[in-house]
Amino acid sequence: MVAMLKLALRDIKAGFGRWMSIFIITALGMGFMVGLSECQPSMLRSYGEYLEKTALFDWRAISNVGFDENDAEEIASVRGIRACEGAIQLDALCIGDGGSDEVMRFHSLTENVNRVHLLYGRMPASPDECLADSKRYGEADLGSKVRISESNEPERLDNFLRREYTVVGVCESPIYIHWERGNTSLGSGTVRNFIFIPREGFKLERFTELYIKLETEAEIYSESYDRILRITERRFRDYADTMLREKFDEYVASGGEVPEGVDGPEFYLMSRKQNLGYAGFENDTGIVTGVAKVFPVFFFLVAALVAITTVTRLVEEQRTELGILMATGYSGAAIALRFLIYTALASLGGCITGFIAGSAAVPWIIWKVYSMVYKFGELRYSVDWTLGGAVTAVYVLMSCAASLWAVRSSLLATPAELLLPKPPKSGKRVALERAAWLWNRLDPSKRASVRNLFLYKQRLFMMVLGISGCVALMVAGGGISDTIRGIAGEQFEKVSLYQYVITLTKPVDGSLIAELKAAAGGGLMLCEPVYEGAMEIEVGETVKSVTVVAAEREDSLDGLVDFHSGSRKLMSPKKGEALICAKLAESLSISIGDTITLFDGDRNALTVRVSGIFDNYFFNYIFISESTLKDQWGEAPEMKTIYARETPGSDIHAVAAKLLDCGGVLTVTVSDDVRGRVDSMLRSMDYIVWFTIICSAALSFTVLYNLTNINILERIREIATVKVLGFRKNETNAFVFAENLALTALGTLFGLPLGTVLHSTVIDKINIDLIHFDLYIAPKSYISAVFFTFLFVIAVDAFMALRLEKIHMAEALKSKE
Amino acid sequence: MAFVEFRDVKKVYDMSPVRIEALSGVNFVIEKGEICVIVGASGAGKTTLLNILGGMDFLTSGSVTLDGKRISDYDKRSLTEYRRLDVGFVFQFYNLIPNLTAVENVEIAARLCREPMDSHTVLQKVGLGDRCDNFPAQLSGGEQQRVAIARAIVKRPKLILCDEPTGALDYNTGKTVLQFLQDTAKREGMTAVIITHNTAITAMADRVISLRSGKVDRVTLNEKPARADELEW
Repeated sequence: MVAMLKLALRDIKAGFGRWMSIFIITALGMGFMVGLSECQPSMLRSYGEYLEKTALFDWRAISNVGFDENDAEEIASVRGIRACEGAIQLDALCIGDGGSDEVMRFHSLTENVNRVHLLYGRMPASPDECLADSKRYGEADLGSKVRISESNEPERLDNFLRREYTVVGVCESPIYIHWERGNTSLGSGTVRNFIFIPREGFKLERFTELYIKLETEAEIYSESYDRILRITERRFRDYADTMLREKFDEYVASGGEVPEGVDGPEFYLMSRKQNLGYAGFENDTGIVTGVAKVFPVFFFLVAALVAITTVTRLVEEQRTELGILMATGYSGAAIALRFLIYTALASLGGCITGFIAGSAAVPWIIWKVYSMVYKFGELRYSVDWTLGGAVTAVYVLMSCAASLWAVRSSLLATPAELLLPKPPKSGKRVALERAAWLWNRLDPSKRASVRNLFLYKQRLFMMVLGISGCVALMVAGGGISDTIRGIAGEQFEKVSLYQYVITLTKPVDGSLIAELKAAAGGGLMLCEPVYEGAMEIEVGETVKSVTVVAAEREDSLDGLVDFHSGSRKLMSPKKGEALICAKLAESLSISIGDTITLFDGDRNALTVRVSGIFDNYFFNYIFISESTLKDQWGEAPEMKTIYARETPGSDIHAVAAKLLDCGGVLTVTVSDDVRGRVDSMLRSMDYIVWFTIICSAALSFTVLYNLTNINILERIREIATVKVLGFRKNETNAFVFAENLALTALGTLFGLPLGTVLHSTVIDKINIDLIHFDLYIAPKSYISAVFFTFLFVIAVDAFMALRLEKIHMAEALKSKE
Repeated sequence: MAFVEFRDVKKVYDMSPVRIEALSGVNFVIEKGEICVIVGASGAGKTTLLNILGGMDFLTSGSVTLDGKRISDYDKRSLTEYRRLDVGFVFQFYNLIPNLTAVENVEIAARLCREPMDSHTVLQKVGLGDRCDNFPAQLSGGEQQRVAIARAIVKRPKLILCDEPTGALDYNTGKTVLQFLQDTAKREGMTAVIITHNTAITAMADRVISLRSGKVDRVTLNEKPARADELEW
């Protein structure tokens, strides 16, 4: 036993490189598998603990009549409710960079729910101080001011105690872990940032909403949490309805003033599942779990093959020694133990290293990538010991089985047979030789290479597997980037043709359009008013928020929005019809001809028939006709938005500024700016591409090193011989490495289609809400995958050429071992 | 001037702290067209001498000339060209490339030089005209060594260098191979150097150089060399 351990250690020392190749490939396989599968649990754990710490609401209640302190207290006393706190949420136009208005969402600070996570500065101490959104504000912005614009309606302005709030702190909020800040009726329709101010900073008497925290320890996204939500919802709704009705009646009876348009109290309950961050986080982090299922099988196969080839070679080298050991009386089991120790040490060491490195590095990298969209708190690692243990067991068992397989024939042989040198493999003809015109042109050294390819089948198989895997990983990685990168261009060049989205303070009238055109000084080619409203679409359990757009006439949007599906043009929606974007159709399984129902913020329903599904990549759009709204809601919608397209060659930003100056214009959004922002966000995905390139490089280096090393060791006599015969350096290199290049070419041939399939599998698993992907791999990605693979091969060959150089010609004179 | 000349050739292997002097001042000449047998026991310096004459190793001091060229001054690159164009090797274990047929094994050497003989013709000359398309594993030891001889002479080298050419062969086959070597060398007018520990082979040589402890012990010239197939050991 001790003797065998010593021998195994000697084997490791004698050929450290190849022992390391088993070690490394195991570490890679383990690292990626464990690392990738720990990503989602780690991120969910981080999120869970973050929500625990910040106490994100479970229910949010809003009412058209608001709430007061008593309401909150009464609800808080209900069984199963830990806390209930009143809060105010109010949007306002603020003066942004460059003077144009942008929408800020003001929240009152709460104590027991939705606690902010302060990053810089301090909490506000007086009503004119505020905390600002860390998405935009940093440490340098402490002391700056958030200014509320005078272009807000006076009633809205009245609700704020001040016109200016000093930023005394920068924070994150559990309500806003997603990059998007939400939609609003004001301005461009998009909330730019959130602002937290003290309750006293608002002049409102009543709360606009109540945040409720339940008494539960259930984990986020768990089935038991969902059950608690379902149970509490009904109990809570009944209670609130009765209570509110009573209060309202009391209020009216005591001569209270009822706001215009309010017939009675209305009450809406929303769970945290309607929070953009909470709703998307689980799905979006699932991407990596999907990828985690594709990678490891592959590494596993390669690891097994590397173990087999290495031990086979080792056994061959130690043939005579094995014969002596057997002749001395060591049993087959004892001898096998030597090789078991050899591979077990490599795979065990690799597993431990891979487990530690993978668990630490991979979730961290993925966390950084995700932080471009989901940003909050800190990463908390969730280490999966069970998976690590199971994978270790499988790897160690597998490598031991591989070494037993490699040693089996030697153990069955008699010592005498082992003491004789193994006869060399006989040469074999290959099919290609029948193509005489080609074969006769090949010089003998090339012919040897071609025959070697098929003589060493194990190597052929491993090399093709390793190289095709390397190519496939890079094609898929590059393809993911192409797919993601391409959509911004598709969206803004082929679908949304408008350059400006102009929002107005009041519904558009005929003179305004003319006025805008004049102000732009010929800078506007097209200019059309539309209705743009945020609505919800409900299909079964799923609710999605969508932007509904209605134009005046059927041809209004010609040249502004291009409705198409692939190369087929779609008709603009007629009365009762809707065009929905591809992502909605896909995620809600809606087909042409289906009838869908949309709800606006006041729960007014709109029923339309889907007449077409159009290609669209960002955000969820539904286009309908103005007549539909007139028909179902009885009045023409307020057209407070204008889509406009620039005249080619005009100065886009100068025109935007002139438009903003016109009376009645609230905001001007420039598509080029949006596109720039989107591009920079999506560029973060490039990390994933680099990650795959590094994985591929590691994979191909290990496989190539292992195989080339063994190939050289097996043919050392042959190589020394050709050197004696007078082969020059480059001829010797070509004699050995031509096979690598040929196998690389073959591997590439398999790798390209494999990569295409891998790409579509991975994209299928990446399912990000609001973004629709069209599978696309740029020729560049195929080319660079091939280029990098050959580069890796050439790098390994260049390294191995140094080994060839060191082979002494005297090896040719030695007797056979 | 002699065709091959060794003058004061020393080769020291410096494996600190030990210094091993494998050749300690070797002097001899070989004339053009001769068959020369270099004999010596293990450790006499045969292999070192072969390495130096074959352009596979550098010497420590002294000089070696072949056909008027001082190969002892050559650098690595020139030595490669020297092996490529001027020397034909025959190894103890044949060293054929297993995945090439007999004729391809000859061809691979023929491609290295400017005016090679025709590979098929050479194989015919060594009596293997009908085994051209066989792989080494399909040939007997003697046949493999004849392919090796064909591979050495196809280049029309200035020198054929044989390292224990019968070492791996049985008695009869060994003699046949030596006879081929003798016939071929004489017919082609090539100079051949055979390095062996088998003193019986010396009878077929024009010149016999005995090595002992890294020095030339004795040089014998045979007026009438025996035919190789008449040798006995």
